[in-house]
Amino acid sequence: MSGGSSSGGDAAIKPMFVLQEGTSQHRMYQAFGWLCLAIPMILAPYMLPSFRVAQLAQCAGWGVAILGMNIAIGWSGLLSLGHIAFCGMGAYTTTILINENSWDFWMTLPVAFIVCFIAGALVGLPALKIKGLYLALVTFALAYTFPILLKIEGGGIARRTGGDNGRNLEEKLVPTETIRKILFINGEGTDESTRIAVYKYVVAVLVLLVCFLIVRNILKSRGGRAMIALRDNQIGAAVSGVPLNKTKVLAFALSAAIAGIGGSLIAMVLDSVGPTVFDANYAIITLMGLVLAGVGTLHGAWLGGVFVVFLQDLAPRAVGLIPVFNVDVVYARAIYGLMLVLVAFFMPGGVVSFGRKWRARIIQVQPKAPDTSHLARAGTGQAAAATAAV
Amino acid sequence: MSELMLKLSGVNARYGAIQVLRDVNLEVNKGEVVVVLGANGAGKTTTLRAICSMVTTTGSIQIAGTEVVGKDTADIVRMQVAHVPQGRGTFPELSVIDNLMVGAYTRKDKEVQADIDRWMDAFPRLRERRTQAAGSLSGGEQQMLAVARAMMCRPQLLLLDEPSLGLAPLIIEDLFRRFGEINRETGTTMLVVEQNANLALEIANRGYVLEAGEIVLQGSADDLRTNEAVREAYLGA
Amino acid sequence: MTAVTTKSRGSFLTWLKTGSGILTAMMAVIVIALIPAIIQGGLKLFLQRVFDSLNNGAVYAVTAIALVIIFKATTLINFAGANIAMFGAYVCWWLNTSYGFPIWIAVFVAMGTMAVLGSLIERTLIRPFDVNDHLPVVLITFGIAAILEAFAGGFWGLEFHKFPSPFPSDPKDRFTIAGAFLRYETIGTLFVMGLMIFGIYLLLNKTKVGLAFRAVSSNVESARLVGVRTGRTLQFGWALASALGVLGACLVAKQTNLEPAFMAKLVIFAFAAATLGGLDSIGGSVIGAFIVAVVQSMLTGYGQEIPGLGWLKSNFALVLAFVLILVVLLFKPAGLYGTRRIERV
Ligand SMILES: Nc1ncnc2c1ncn2[C@@H]1O[C@H](COP(=O)(O)OP(=O)(O)OP(=O)(O)O)[C@@H](O)[C@H]1O
Ligand SMILES: [Mg+2]
Repeated sequence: MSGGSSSGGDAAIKPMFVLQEGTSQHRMYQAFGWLCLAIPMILAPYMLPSFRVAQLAQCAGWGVAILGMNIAIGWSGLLSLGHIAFCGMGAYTTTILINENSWDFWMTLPVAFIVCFIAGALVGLPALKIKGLYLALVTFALAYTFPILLKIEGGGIARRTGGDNGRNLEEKLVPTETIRKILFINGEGTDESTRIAVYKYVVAVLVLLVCFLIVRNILKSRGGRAMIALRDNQIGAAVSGVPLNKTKVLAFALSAAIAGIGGSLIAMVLDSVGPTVFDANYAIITLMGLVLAGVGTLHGAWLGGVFVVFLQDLAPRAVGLIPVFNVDVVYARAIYGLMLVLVAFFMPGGVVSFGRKWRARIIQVQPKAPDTSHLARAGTGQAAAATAAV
Repeated sequence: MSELMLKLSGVNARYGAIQVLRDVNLEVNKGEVVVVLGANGAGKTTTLRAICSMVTTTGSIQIAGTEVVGKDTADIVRMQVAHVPQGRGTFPELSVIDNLMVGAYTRKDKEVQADIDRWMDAFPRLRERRTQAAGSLSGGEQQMLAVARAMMCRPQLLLLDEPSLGLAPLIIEDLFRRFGEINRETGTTMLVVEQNANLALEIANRGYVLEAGEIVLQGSADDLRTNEAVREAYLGA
Repeated sequence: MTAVTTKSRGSFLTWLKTGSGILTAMMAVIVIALIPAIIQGGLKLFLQRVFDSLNNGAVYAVTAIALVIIFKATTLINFAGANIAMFGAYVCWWLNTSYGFPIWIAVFVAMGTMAVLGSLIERTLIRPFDVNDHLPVVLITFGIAAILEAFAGGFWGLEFHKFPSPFPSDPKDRFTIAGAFLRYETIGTLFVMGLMIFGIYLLLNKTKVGLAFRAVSSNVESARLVGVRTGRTLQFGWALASALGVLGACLVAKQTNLEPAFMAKLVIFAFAAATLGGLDSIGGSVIGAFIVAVVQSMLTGYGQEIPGLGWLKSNFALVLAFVLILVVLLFKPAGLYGTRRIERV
């Protein structure tokens, strides 16, 4: 269902423009694409009210989380419903290090990465030994267990995590003078909360960009190709020398680690953590963000977070428009659920694949003719599609 | 001219985008044993699957005069067609008895128990192991079970897909002797796919040779046995 | 299969590796670990812990069986199962409190309603997809779970509702055995569970639809080739599992009270039970359920009495269930009595 099924159908439709890969037109087209993404992202913080900027910063944080989920679910075919717990681990690691050890935010990121990597490996090792839906079962259990883990009173856990109440970050991220100058937020026209929001936004987007590039390169690497080959054909991949267990566990741990970075960002943006941000409800919302944006698409990272944040705004209002229901926030949950069902039926590749299908009718990029060897090495159609689309 | 039990005309079959059968025409008369020969991947299994509507098929397939293309497998089975798939297709977790009971799933009459006894008489090994899980039987025993199970629906048409696969030569010979007996005693029409052309042609009335999804040769068993190409390709002579 | 071959060898070590062996070893370890606490707390307290666990065990068992039935037939895990059960319990409560249905009638009507819903879900939302393509099915069952939870909250509110007990539940309705109390409710729950397992046994082993169900579980292709209508059989499996889930929910709702997430919280224990016993073994998952329940009751009960374990609060049981799932998967992936080869290729 989620495989590279689009390539077959597209050939029949004649696109309006055909670009040769590697030509200057193609490069210009690519640059144009990046500009379309970059310009709004650069302008947004200066044009929007501060609470919207803060929301966009959250989007970037959830975007990183979804990028991490996508490594497992999209590219490795490891169905995880519990990445929200890894997000939470990242968020709490950051919070505890900042609050208890007075670390700076950026210093906590590598630690969050490592903690979540190890946690991912620990969960993945047993769950990945078995085929089928066991991983989904184990990770679903993890999503339910994580908020309870936070409340365990032994070992000083509840004291450090704040238990039911969660914790506020004691040292908030505040831009230095130089940074204010660079970001043009030292002027008179803005108030301090806006400046902080802009700064947080910039940090979050930069981290997202870095994660995006890292993941992109990993997907192109040998390991990444092994991962994708494994998703598409386990037996085939194993026969051609891909170490099954190692690749799976590594992919799962990596995806957990990136999700953890996403969690750190969310803690930084919200200035607080709590068990209700990383519970089963958010497991549904992030999964919805992922599948709406596009399972197995890199660019889903930009969109996924947007869905997570803004659908929480919109869903209750949309429910309010339906006359038969009392306006009731609980029905918003039904909308998330409905989205999951609808996406499975009608848009298995999410918005990104959907957009790509339409784009293919207008512009088509023909891969370089002579260099087929590297395409063949890239393996599956989707790997080629994922890399070509960047 | 005897009555037609099975008639395939202009049958094409495909798995997704891969076309496997091209314009296959094949006929089996009532009471006949017909063998289909062909190399690995020629489409023999696919032919049998097409008859049971388990692969995307176009063209016309008639069983006892009724068109079946597009029908549900369960409905085709209810026309008393039994299919012993390649690799036996027993139910490994079910006991031998239960396997036989499932074989009679479509029957509503009261003689199921009598038939179970009958086929256990025919294959005494099955009686010895009647409560054992089918998955723990030996390959030969499983094949016997698969045949007995197929006979449980009192088929008018029996489709056998490489029944000799993985069996010792002696057992194969015994099995084919049984097929001959079954055919003679019950008048069951049989379409047998077989790599072991020698044995198959011994019990068969006629045969077809399938190559890359097309029928390239057909004739009486004797004709095929003496045909140069067949001898070279399938009889190892 | 291993059980068959090892029995003949009969050596102690090989026996230890079978389901029963591991089970016995586990029990021994638990009992030995608890000896100090049992001595300290006395027989009465110990018995009370065991009695306390029976109710939970029965409920976990029923819920786990519902899971196993769908897994056996399709190798899918129904993530909506818990919430289908939850919704059914609400329907039952609603019929009972708002329309005055006698409680058992309400239970049966709710079971029937959710059975219909379950079979509709299979027919319309699950069947269009290839069972080997797991993502859509997970999305859909996860989505249905969210929808049902939202609707339960929307129709009946997010607050806790008292659920009527289907059994005599006066504080005095109990036996006293060696000083420990065994409530009629517990006995009733156990009785209903026993009846249900017997019913399922009869259904699966003595009826034609049961035979078809077992055939489909064992080999879908062959089942189709003997004329079983596999779609309808799966639909039957979903209906059966949904009805069972509702029964489990109604048995436990008295203790937990009704709220939209009450079954989702419990289902982890059912997962643990089924993984422990073997996701494709009904009997195994019943045994698993009681192990999980006993261990839960002992650990949380004795937590206070064993030095250094004071932090074992009752919600820690959930963590324990999760760890149990991981450990089982690590050391005996098929579970104690799982038969099918579910280890990866
Ligand atoms: N499920 C499937 N999906 C795609 N292609 C298939 C499928 N099953 C069979 N094929 C292809 O169809 C062709 C014919 O297969 P078929 O099983 O009918 O061969 P066969 O004659 O029975 O061979 P054998 O003697 O090895 O059993 C083969 O090339 C095979 O690769
Ligand atoms: Mg074949």
